[in-house]
Order: sequence, then structure tokens, then C-alpha cells
Amino acid sequence: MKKINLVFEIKSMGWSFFLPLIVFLLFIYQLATYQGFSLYIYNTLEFLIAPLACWWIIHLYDEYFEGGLHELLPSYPLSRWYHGISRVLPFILMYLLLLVGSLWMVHSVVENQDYAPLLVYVGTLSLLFATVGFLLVAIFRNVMVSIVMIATYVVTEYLTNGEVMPWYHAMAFVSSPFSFRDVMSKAIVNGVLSGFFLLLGQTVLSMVLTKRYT
Amino acid sequence: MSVLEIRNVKKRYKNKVVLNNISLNIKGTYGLLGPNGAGKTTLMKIIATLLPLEEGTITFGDISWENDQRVKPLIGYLPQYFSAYKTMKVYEVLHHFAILKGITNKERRISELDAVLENVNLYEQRNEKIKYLSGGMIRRVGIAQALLGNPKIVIVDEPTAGLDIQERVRFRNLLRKISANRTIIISSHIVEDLETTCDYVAMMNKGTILLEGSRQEVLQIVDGLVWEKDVNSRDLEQIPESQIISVKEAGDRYIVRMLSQESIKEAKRVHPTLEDAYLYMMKGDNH
Amino acid sequence: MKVFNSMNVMWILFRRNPLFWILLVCFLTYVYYGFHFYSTGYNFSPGEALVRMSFAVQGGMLAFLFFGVLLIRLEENNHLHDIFSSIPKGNFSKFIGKLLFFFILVLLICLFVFSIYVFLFLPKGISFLPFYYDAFLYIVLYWGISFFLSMLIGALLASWFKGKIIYPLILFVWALIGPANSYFFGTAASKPVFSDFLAWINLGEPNPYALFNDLYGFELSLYHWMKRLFMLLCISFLFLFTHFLRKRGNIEKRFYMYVAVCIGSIGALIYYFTLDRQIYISNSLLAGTRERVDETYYRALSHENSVPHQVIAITKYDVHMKIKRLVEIDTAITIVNNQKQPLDNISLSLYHGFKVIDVSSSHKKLSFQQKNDLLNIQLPSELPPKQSCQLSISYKGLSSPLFFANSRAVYLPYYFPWLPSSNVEPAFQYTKIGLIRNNHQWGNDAEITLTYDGPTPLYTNIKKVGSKKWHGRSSFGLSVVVGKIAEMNRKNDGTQFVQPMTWEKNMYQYPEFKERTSHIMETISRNFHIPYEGFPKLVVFVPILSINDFAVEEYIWFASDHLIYGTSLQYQATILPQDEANYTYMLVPALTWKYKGIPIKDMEYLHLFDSVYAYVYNQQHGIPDDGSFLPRMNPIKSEKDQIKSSIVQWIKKEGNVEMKNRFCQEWFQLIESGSQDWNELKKLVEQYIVIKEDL
Repeated sequence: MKKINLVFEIKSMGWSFFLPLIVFLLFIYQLATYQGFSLYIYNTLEFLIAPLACWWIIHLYDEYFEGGLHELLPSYPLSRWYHGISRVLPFILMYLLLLVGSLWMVHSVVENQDYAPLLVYVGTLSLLFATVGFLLVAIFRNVMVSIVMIATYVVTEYLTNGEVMPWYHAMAFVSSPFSFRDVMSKAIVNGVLSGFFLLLGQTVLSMVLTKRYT
Repeated sequence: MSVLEIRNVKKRYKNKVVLNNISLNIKGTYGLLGPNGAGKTTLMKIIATLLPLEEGTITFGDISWENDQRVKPLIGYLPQYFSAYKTMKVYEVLHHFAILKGITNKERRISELDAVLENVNLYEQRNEKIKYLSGGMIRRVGIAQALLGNPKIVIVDEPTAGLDIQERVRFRNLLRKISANRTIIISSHIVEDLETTCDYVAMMNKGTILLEGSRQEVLQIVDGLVWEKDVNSRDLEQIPESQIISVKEAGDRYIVRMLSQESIKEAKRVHPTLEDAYLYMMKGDNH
Repeated sequence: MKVFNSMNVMWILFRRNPLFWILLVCFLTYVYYGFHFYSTGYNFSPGEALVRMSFAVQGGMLAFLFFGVLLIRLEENNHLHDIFSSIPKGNFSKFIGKLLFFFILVLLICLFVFSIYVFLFLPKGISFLPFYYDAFLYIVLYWGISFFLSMLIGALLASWFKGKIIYPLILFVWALIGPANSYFFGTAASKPVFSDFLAWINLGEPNPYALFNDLYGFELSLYHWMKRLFMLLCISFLFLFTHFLRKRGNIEKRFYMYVAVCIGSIGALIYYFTLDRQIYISNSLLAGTRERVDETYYRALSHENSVPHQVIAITKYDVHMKIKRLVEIDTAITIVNNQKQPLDNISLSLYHGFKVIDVSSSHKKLSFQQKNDLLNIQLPSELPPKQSCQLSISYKGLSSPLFFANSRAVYLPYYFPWLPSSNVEPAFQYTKIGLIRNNHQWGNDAEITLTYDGPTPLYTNIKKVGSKKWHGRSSFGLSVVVGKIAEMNRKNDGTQFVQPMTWEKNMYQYPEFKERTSHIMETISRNFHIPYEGFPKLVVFVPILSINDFAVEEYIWFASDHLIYGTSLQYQATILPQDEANYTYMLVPALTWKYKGIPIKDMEYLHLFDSVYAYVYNQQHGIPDDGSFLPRMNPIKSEKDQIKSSIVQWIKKEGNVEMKNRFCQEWFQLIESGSQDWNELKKLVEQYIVIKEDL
């Protein structure tokens, strides 16, 4: 873990690093000008803030797969975990930290919205997108494809209310303050899936890097 | 054969002068020698019409660089960094270049492609994908595309960059081989590249031409000034660094090659090389 | 040859990349599932299948934005850009070749998508070719062109910005130009100026959240094609400008010609966009949505528009109507003074969107004043009683967004004042239950001649007598309907049954619909002594509602010669409502007070009558009705509520159906006499509930 150099990773990401920060700022602005329409806030949380958790994770691998580093880095004395989970986790944690703060604002602004269920639900949803991003970028080794797939999923879910496509619907489509009971099952499934995708992503990445090196 | 005449070419990037009144007469196999940042690539790009000619004139026979559409058919260009679409085969890549260069007649195209592939010794690899080729082979694909359309002027920027020793030798031979009946301009900071291939040489530094002439003329600049001396390590330390061209180990002693206007004690005068002339000029220019 | 070979190289590169095939298969599977969802079961809706698939377009646009980046960076990544620059027209040929490749790719995607669409819907009974033609145009416009433009925008950005900044930029642009842009910008999207901008910049389906309007069909107005042409020209101009900056003066003369053409066309299109036109905007997240335009207008409209009482009749209409960008109407009308005093000026109703240009009589211009929906005309001389005069009125403008009339579709029914009407009241009124349409039926017989130049085929209640010419008589008004509708029962019973092409599947219900309607007509005719002229010759079954969908009074409009049977926007419309009882509720107001042309003074009062009689009718005829359509009565706050409550409670009690029917008959007599007064109703109620019930 000591080998993870956050500043280096951020510099390597370039401008892409700032996108989630800008979106969070806009979200804070939305909360600051809140006029009682909680649906907008929940929509932003479910369909923008949570999916954006994959952004940093996917871009962590831009240099690996599109900058040619995949041919160089495996020769370094670094474990397979370094390339995968060890690099991904700090960024997931960073994102969750941003969430913790902004969700506290949501809790303060939206009447009757408890903090704990909000944190658990949006947290696990974000975690799910982050790990799906990790898995996709490991499988396709392509930033564009991974982003397009996640974006398409999110827009599809939003515009169809999770009705049309025969796949797992990660969002609970909340429109008003919710309690644990309303979102618990989604949070549990999303949490479990996140763990699964993280491990699967790590496995695929290890295979990819090993194959490339040998 | 026509001469490529460059007269008073200037180039600025923002406020920095990159080329300062460059005038050259390029013919035969012509080497442009200079350190990194001397302005070689900029000059190459202007000749290759990749950069606009802002000041000065360039002509080749009756063709002027003011009209780059007339110039482009004369030119085959291999840039410093060359790769091709990795999933395409050698033949497909060259076929594509051939069509872009206007070789639309199918029979002519096929025969020219075969000839070029033979010429660069890649006929056997014509159905290999680019991603499976070695660095030297890719460089040869690069020269092959430059030769397509039988251009009068072939421009090769840093021909051996990134190649191993064997590939370098092979590539230099290739450049020699293709030099018949056309002007070849090779820019390099590696003296050996030019030593074995060029009839004419120009040396550049900081955007100006220090010297231009045939290889013999260039060597005459340092004729009688190059010395070799067999020394031990303690004597080696006594020799002023500004005099040293190169040092070779010979057991526990060293053979030092030096530049000097005056005779050096216990040293023997030797035949100069292009490298000697280059270093002589660079030292003179830098001091 | 250079261009085609460059295109072929792109094809080789794409086809050798497994990701291309994975993405293509995923995309087509995704589209298949999307269409499949809307082609089966309860969700069956051919229109919705395309409109609702905006999400596929949004996803596809992101992919094509990235393809645009690839288009520029492909050579840069392979260090080939310089070589192509050194070849005569090398880069140009490559660029055009790659564009051509993406153009063909887009075209193939359109064809694949269209094939899946036809494959799923053709066997499901949707057989009208014009609908498939529109579906193809829709796919080209909202999928194909959007993808292609996205690719160009991606390429333009990639030619300006190097490095990784392109990713956030692409994502931002994607959020801005996609059909879901109003969602991405959240509450900001509802701010009028930004809202208009978002609607304008959206390259996908303009109404992604609205239900498909089967009458209007797909929004394929010329405006949307021009918008995309404008964007294409702007992008081309920016490419040329970028080229100019990079070449620094070493430019061919042809270049300046391209720039001039671009700038000229852009200027012409900017002028085009400033012109008024009607397009279909239904997006609750945007300020200008069609559901809100008239609501806002009539809510703010003063109700103090006191109109002098006048009794006039218009006995002849000679209408020349042209529907292009605007609705342009020249009409000659004959006015008869039916009151005892002479008239020196007259008041007519005309929807305020139509601006009167000229009013004349015998080639003499008359002064007029148009305020809101009221048109006041100063007659050339006093019109004595029983005398007539002819007026020519020219006007043009935009119809109500709820009664659209543009080059795609027209819905101008007799009850909407699109023709000058002597029935003087605003087109709508804003009530407690929201915006309701006022009935502008004429109330006297009139001869009508219509010359029409606009979208076709046109369905109307008068007869076609020549090319673009119709003639007939009506005592209700003239209805003109054009859209994605068709006559469904040509071999049937002499009645033209017209409905959207996308509802073809429901035709098996038509005989039962006709039988049930005829039966209710007979009963009401007998009960309330209203003579009808038999079953109407024209039935138009269309989705006309988008406001007040819960008000049963808005559904059916019955004129002697035609019946407009409306539904809300919905999936899989059935001619007969799933709840049989509901149909009675819709038909009663149409066949009673609306048919008689009784103006609405108190909608709540009339609504109570409608629902009470419909309930009684259902009881009389054994139609299961649990009373859920009757007004709900808690809490009771006023005497009015008390009256309503006692009626509803009494009516819901079993037995005494005949007495309840008699009550309704007497109540209708009250309404016919012009009363919509709760005290009079109370008296009637007291007679029945207290006195007659006891007998």
C-alpha cells in the first residue's frame, strides 16, 4: 500500500480527475438552492452521483491499456494486487468520503431523510458502479467502452424506470425520503455484488497482465 | 539530377528563432547532422511541406515550395517516429499508401509494391501484421512507404532511432541501396548513420548551418588536427577535456583521440572521421 | 479511389477489433430487447418503442463521440499523421474516407434497427406502410444523424484538445446534446432561457419523457432536420476555421468558397429559426411544454371579459386554408342578425394564436380589434334584424399546442375556435379542475366550402368535391384532422372509422363499440328528448388529451355528422375502455349538454350531472359499476358538498332506478333552461330524496 502514490495517480489522470469534483460542486449548488422537490435530489444521487463513482476507477487504467504501460509495469517487482485492488481502493475511499459529506448535506436539506439509510444505500450503489467500472475496464481494456456501457445502463434505467431491459436494476428509484426498510434489500444486493465484481475484476486484471507479460 | 536549393529560410515559434537564414544545396545522399534541438526536424518538416514556408525560398528545378501541391508528389517522407495500424498487414498498409500516393493503376501498383517489398527485404513478411514486426522491420515498412510512387526526394528523419546495432547496419545499407537516381536527405544526431551513407553533409546547431560540403570537404576541416595517444589512467586525467574526442580502453591503458592545432607529444596524427569534424565544429560553435 | 481505400482501411481496422463486434452485438441485442418489450403484451406500442428507446440513442451518442475522438487520434497514435500530410491530399482523403466509413456505419445501424423494428411489429398487425416510412425517417433523424453529428463533434473536440481533458469534455458534451439533457441539468432545465437552449441543443428525441402521440406521430418536422443541418454547417465551419488557423495562409481558393457557402447557409438558417412555427414539445422538465402553454395563458386571463349579448348566426363559411410553417386562413363568412335590434359591430371568437391581418366587406376594409380570443369587428353600416352581410377575414399564426396544426399533423375540431365563431367565449377556461376546453359549436346550420393546402390525407365532416376542395353543411362546425391516422373500415357500414395507424390491432372491437354507442344514443335520445341524426358518418378515434385526462367531459365530442372519440395518450388504446362502465361516463356529456351547445357556467355542477346519469344508465342496463367514477365526498365543507353528497348517496342505493332516471330527466330540463344553480338543484333533490323517496 505504501507504493501507491496518490499524487502521481492523480497527475496521471490529468483533467479527468476533476470531473467528479465538479459534479459534486454542482450537486452542492443544487442542494443549496433546494426548493422542496426531493425527486430531483434523489435522481441526481441515483443517476449521476452514484454512477460517477466508476469514473476515477476506469481512468486509473487509461495509462495501463491505452498509454502502453501494461507492457512495462508487470516487469516491476509489484504484486498483482498492487495493479488492481490496491490502486482502486484508495480512490473508492476518496469517493466515499466525498459522499459522506454531501449526503450529510442531503440529510440536512431534505426534510425527514435519515442519514444512515441514505449513506448505506447511495454508498453501496456507488460502490457497485465503482467495482463494475473496475471489472469492465479489466475485461475490455478500454476506457471508452467501459464508460459507454455504464452510461448506457444508467440512462436506460432512468428513461425506462427500470422496466424494459431484462437485467439487474441496481437503483431503487426513490423519489421521497426513505428508511432502511425501503432500500435494505437493494443495498444488500448491491453490496454483495460490489464485493463479487471487485474480486472478479482483480482476477481478470491479473490474468490480463500475466498474459501480456509472458 | 536537380539540386534542392534552400535559400534564407527562417522559422520562428512564438519569439524563438528555430531556423536562422538557412541556405543549402541538397543533392545526392545528403546528411544533416546536429544535436537534438538544432532545428533539423523543423527543416525536414518544411522540406516535407508539413510546416509552411514562411520566409526564404526552396526550389527543386523549376518547382517552388510556394505551391506545396506540386511539391508533395516529389516527396517520400519517413518521420522520426513511425508506426502503422497495428492490426493491418504489411502489404495492406503499403497498398493503402500506394493508393493515397496516386498509384491507381492496379498492375502498376502491384508491381511497384512487390518491387518495394523486395527492395526493403520484407517480401517474406508481407502478410504479417504490423504488431508482430520488430522495430527494424517497422522502420523498413516506413522506408518502403516513402519509396512508393518513386519520389525524387526521400526525407528520412533520424533513420536508426530505436534500432539495435544489427538493424542499424542493415538500415544504413538499405538507405545506400535506394539512393540511386534520387535525392535522399537524412537527418541524424548519430554520426555513423551519415558516415556510411552520405556523399554530402551539413552540420547544424542552434538553427544555423555551421558547415556544408561533400564528405571529403568536411573531413578536410579537421585534416591534420586529429591525434591519437596511448596513455595510462594518470596521464588521461592530465589531458584537457576540451581536446578529447573519444577514449578507448586497451587493457590497462587508454587510447585517447584528440583534436589539436598543434602537434602533441608522443601522439600520432591519424585520418579524421566525420565524428571528428562534427565534434570539432560543435566545440567551436559552443565556445 | 483514395477516399474509398481510406474507408476500407477503417473497415479493416474495425473488423479486426473484437471490441467492435462485441459492442455491435451488445447494441443490437439491447435494441432488440427494447423493441421487443414494446411489441408484446400490455406494453404494446409501436410509437413508444422508438420514442422510449431514446436511451439507446443517448448511449449510442456517447459511443460516437468517442469514435470522433478516434477518427482524429487514430493517425496521431500511429505517428502517421505527418506522412499523410506529406502526400498530396493525403490527410483530406483520409478524413473524408473515415467520415464516409462512419456515415455508412451509421446508415447500416439505422437499417439494422429499422429491420428489427419491422421484424417485431409487422407480424403484430401494424401494416400501414406510411407508418414504417415515418419510423425509418425517425431512425435516420434521431438515431443516425444524431450519431453522425456526435461523431463530428467528438472529432472537432479531439482536433482542438490533446490529452485526457477530452474525456470530461466528451462527457459534458454528451450530457448537453443527448435526449436526456433536461434530466442531466436537473432543476436548471426548468429555467426558461436554459430550458429553450436545452430543447434546442438536444439532438435526440425532442420529447423523451412524454408518451407517444399516435395522432401526431413522430416529430419529424422540417425544423428538426434544419436544426441538424445547422449543426452540421457549424461543425463544418469550425473544421474549416481550424484548418485555416493551422495552414496559416497557405490556403487554396476553394477553401474560401466552402467558408462562404457555410457562412451563407448558417446565416439563412439563423433567419429560419427566428421565424414562428409550431413544433411538438412535450417535456415536463422544460418550460415550453405544450401542456403548460395554454394553461399559463388562460390562468392569467382575466374573467372580466364581458361580451355584449348578441344573437347572430354565421350561415356560410368559405374557407381557404393553407398549413405550412404557419396556419394561414382566408375566410368569407355570411352573418345574419338574429336579434331584434340592428347591429353596428359584432364579436366573434378566434383563438388568440391566429393574428387577424385583414377584415373587409365588399372590398372595403373594416376596423377590428383582437384581444385574447375575442375579435371585434366594426360593420360598414348597421345590420338590420334578419339581414345578412358578408365579411372576409384573413388571419394567420399558430394554433394552440393542444390543437396542433402544422405540416405534420392537424387537429382542428369543430369545438375549438379556429374559425371565427359566433359562440363568444374563450377557447379554454381555467377551472378548479384545471384547463378545460370550451365548446364552440355553431348552433345553426351553415354551408361550408373548404379549400385546403396542407398535410394529407385530411379527414373532415364535409364531402370532398374536388382536388383540395370540400363542401357540405353542418350545424356544429367544421373539423379537420390530419396525422398518422387512417380509415380502418372501408368495407363496413358506411361510417368512416378513422384512428391512428398504430392502433390497428383494436379493430375487432369496432362492432361492439358501434352497438354500444348506438344503444346509449337511443336511450338518451328517448330519455331527454334529444333528436340525433343517426349514427355519425365519421368517427375519429384519436388521442386528444394531454391535460385534464381525468375529466370525462373532455373525451367525446359528438356532432350530428361526426363523433370525435378521444383518449389520453396511452399504450395500446382499445376502442372500448377496459372498464365498460367508464364509456357511459364519457358519452353522457357528449350526448347531452355538450350536444345541445349549453355553455359551461359551473363545471362541477355539470360534472355531477354527467356522472350521476351515467351511473343510473349503467344501473338500468345492468352494466357493472361500483360507483368509483362518482365524485368523492369527504370532507363536506359547504352546502354544495352537502347536495352532492346526498345525491351520490341516494343514487348509490339499490332500487328505484326509474325514479333516479326521472330525477335526471328533470335535472337535465333545469340545465337546458340555462340553470346551473345549486339552489335549484337542491330543491329538486329535496323533492326526490325527501318526498318521492318516501312515497
